[in-house]
Amino acid sequence: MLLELREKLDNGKISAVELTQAYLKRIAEKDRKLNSFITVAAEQALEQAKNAQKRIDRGEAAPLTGIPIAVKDNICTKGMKTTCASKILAEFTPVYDAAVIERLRQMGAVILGKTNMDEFGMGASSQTSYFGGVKNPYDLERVPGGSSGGSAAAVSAGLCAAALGSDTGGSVRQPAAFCGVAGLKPTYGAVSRYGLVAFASSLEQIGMIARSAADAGLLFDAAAGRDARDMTAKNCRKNADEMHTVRIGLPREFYGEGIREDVGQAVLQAAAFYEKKGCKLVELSIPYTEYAVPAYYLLSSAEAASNLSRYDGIKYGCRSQHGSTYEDLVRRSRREGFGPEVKRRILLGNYALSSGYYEEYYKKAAQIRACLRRAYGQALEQCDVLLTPTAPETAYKIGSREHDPVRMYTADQCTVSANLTGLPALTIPCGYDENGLPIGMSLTGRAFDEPFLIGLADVFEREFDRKEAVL
Amino acid sequence: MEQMDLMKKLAELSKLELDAAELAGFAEQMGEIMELMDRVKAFHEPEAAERPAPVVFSELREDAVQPSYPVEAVLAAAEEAENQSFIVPKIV
Repeated sequence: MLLELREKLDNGKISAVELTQAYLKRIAEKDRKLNSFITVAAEQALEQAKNAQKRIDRGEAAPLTGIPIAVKDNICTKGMKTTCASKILAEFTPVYDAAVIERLRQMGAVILGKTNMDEFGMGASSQTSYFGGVKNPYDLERVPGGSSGGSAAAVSAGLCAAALGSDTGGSVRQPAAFCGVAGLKPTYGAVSRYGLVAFASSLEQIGMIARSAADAGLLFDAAAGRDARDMTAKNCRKNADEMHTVRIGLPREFYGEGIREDVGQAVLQAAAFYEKKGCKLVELSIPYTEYAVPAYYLLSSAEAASNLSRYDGIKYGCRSQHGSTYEDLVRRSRREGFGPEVKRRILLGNYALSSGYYEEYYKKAAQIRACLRRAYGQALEQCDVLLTPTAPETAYKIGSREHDPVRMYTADQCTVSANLTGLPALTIPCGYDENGLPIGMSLTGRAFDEPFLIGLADVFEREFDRKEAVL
Repeated sequence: MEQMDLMKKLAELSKLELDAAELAGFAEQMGEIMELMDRVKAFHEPEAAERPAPVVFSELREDAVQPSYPVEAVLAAAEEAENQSFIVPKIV
C-alpha cells in the first residue's frame, strides 16, 4: 500500500492534503466504533500535509513524505499529548519528539494522532486504557490484542496508512495477528528508544504495524539507526540477498500444549507453502522455553517497578489533591493515577527485587534469559528463520479473561522469547478461523535480519487470500 | 497474615497507598501469579551462574554539555511550580 500511495502522491493523482483529509474523514466516521485513537491531531496533520506537498512538488519526496501515520501513545510527540493511556499522564505534553518521530518529521510523514493502548504497555488486550478499551475491526465484541491494539486496529480498519507501536513482550506482534495485519518487532538496538516511555528498558523496541510486511519494512527503514541519545541503538543492516539458503525451523515447543489446534494447523500450512517454494523445513527443539513466560514477567516487572517510580505527581503528571506530607502525596498520586494492572506489575517487580526473594526470582530469571539467548543462537545455526504461531489463539471476547492475570500472562508464550533474546520477529496473517478471525504466524530471525524476514514474508503475502475487516 | 504483611511491605516499596480491601485483593492475585513465577525455581544450570549483560552498548557519545530544554517548558508540566521550583508539601 505505501508504495501505491507514494506513486499516487508523486504522480499527482492525489495530493498529500487530500490523502490526509481522506484518513481524517474515515477516522471521524469509523473510530467511534473502535476507539483506536486517543488524540486525533487534525490541524497539525493538515499543516504537515501542506508542507509535504511542497516537498513533493519540488521533487524532493522521501519514501514516507505525505504518508499519514498513527503513533502509539507511549511515544513522545512534542506539543501533542502523550498519555500512555494512563490517568497519571492524561494531560502530559512532552517538550520533545522521540527519535523515531524526529526521523518521520524529517521525512515529511504526516502524524495523524496517537493511538490507544493498554496502560503503560502492560497488557495484551488494550482494555486497560484510562480512555476506554479498543475494539477489533473483525468483530467489535472482541479484543484487538495489546498493548498496541489501537495501532493495530487503526491499520486494520484503514484509519491510517501504517502505525508505530511498541513491543516489550509481544505488544506489536500479538495485536497485529489479532487484527490481521503485519507487525514487526525489530532487533533490540535497531531502533532508538529515545522518547519511548520506558516500561522494561532491556526488552522493549518501537515496532511497526502495517498492511503488509513490505510496508512495515519501509517504516522500519525510516525509523532504524544509531542514535547518540540511546546507547543501545546501533547501525547494523543486512541485505536480503546475503541469505542464500532458506531453512525454516519449526520448534516443537510452539506447536503443542497451549496452542489451539486450528492455529497450529494454519501455521503448518504456511510452512508447507514455503516448502513448495523450495525452502527446507527443519524440526527442532529449543530448550528453556518452558521458563520464558515467568522469566519475562519477573524481569519486565522488575524493570517496570524501577521505571515507573518516576511518576510521583511532582514534576509532571496527575497529582493527588489529598496528600498532607510529601510521602503521602506521592503515594496517593500513584494510587489515583495508576490502574490495577500497572499496580500489580509494580508490586510483582518489587517482590522479585526485594531482599530474600531476589536470588530465587530476579537472578534466576536473568540466568534463564542468558540460557535462552544461547539456545536460540544454537537453533538459528540449524535454520535461517523460526516459524511459529504469533499467539496461541485468535481474538477473544472482551471481558472474557481480562480479570484473570495468570491466563493473560501465559498467553504470551509465543512472543516473549523474541524480547528476552533481542531477536527480530515479524508477524503476518496466514489464515482465518471458523469465525473469520485472523490467525498470525511469526518469523523470528537472527539479529538484524529484518530485510530477510520481510522478503520471506512478502513471498507468502503475494499469494495469500486476504479477508478484510468490514466496519 | 504473613501474606498481608508481605503485601504491605511491597506497597511501601512501590510507594502505593492501598486500602485493606485492595491489599487483600492484590494478595490473592499475587498468590496465583507467584505460582506461575515459581516455575523458575525448577531451573538449574550451574553454567548459568555468571549472568552476561543482556545488551551491548554502542560507542558512547562524547561527555559534553548539550543544550537542554527550556526551564519554563519543563515547569509547565508540573501541577504546582513557582520561582523555577516544584512546589511540594513541607518536608522539613
